Amino acid sequence: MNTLSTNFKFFIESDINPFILFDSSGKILYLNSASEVLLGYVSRQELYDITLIYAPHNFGVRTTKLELQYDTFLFYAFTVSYENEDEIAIHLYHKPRIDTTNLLQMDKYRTTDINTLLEANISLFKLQNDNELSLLVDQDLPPFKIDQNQFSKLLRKILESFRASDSIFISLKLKIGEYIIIREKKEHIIELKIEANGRYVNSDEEIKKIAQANHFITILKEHSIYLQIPFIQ
Amino acid sequence: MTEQFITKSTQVEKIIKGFNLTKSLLVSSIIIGEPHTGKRTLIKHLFPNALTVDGSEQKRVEESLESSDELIIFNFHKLTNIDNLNFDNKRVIAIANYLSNERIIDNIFAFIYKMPSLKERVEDIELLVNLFSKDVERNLILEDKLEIDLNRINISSNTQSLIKSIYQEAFIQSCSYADIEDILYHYLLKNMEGSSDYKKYLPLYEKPLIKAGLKKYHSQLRLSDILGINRNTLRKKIYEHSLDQF
Repeated sequence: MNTLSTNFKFFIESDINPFILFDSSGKILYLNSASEVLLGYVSRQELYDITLIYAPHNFGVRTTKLELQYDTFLFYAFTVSYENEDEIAIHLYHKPRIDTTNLLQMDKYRTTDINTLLEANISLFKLQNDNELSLLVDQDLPPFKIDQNQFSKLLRKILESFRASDSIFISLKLKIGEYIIIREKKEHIIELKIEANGRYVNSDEEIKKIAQANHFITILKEHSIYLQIPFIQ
Repeated sequence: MTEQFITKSTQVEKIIKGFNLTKSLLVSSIIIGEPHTGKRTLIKHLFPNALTVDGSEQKRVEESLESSDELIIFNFHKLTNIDNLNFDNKRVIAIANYLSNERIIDNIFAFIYKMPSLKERVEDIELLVNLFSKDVERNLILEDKLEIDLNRINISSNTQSLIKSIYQEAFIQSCSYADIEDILYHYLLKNMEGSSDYKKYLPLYEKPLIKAGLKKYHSQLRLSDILGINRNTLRKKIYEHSLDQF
């Protein structure tokens, strides 16, 4: 048995996996910093309900393998634990985002002005569609390395999935405080968000496949697609 | 020499904009459209220095892809094997008359453009007629400027039939009396073979004569005087040649 007596709070606080401690009425007694970000995207009540549903029948610990997605957060499992009637905790585990077996072919990556590439793709889309399109981009984004052909192909498929929407909103920005590990290096993330009042989902598998092969993260929702692109310089 | 490309079509202008935006990028694009819509002229105009290869020559295309970073492949639909072509890190612009394999094309090309036919961009017809009329005037050493009725231009095969129409119009407009005699002579020499050929071929002269006369003088009475024939005879001939509507 572990007899070490120390303050574990620091370790939990700095864990990138969200950890939340509830009281018996669902009030939060403690949450680590990863949970604070998560609670911007999912309600406390929803997480508490999941905690109760998947709690072990008796005092103890129960880990459930279940995929949960809240906006860009994707979890592959979570642990619910309690040892008295007053406190119950949930610990969610991030799903690994990168397939490490798929190595980046850097020779195909060219320093690119993403805005030019985006404009070319929008121009192609506009040729065949007359949807209203609004664009919010950061013109000051510095050029970064990307496989121009693969990115364009992916973007064509993504935009096509919105072809029946009345109006489409596209935004491109650098995500603050979030990173992606590429070749053991922490890289910033550029997020391309496309939203509309609906979209076709028949190309979703193909979109995911191209995105994964290029280390892009895609979040495909009913009305929107988020594409997170490693900002490799 | 840089190819000249002119258009008033918004669709084509958008295609040009798209190509201009990707000019500096290493992406693969394809432009698909009916034959003689100006695809190749447009691409040569936009990428004057790119190496150009014919898709009918599979081996040459493969070799060119090995040696060049920027390549135009025309007759792309004629390539026998497109599965193994490597477009990585290259600026490839393919030109095709039709989609030979939609799935593969969707897979290998980032940008897919559809070139509208002349039927879909009627605003370009007058522009092209004016452009090619100058060529025709020069080639046939015509002294007078051609006056082309756009309604008489055939665009069923895009610029191919358009140019043919202009040549035909140029010929019609520049024919002399002797030319017409020669034409009739050659035609009759080739086709005369029956027993009632006088009756059969007389309309070759008579029909255009009456048709032109009706257009010019508007009145059968006046025309009968001009032609020096009886009014009833003229009316009969109008009926025979189905020219009643003129």
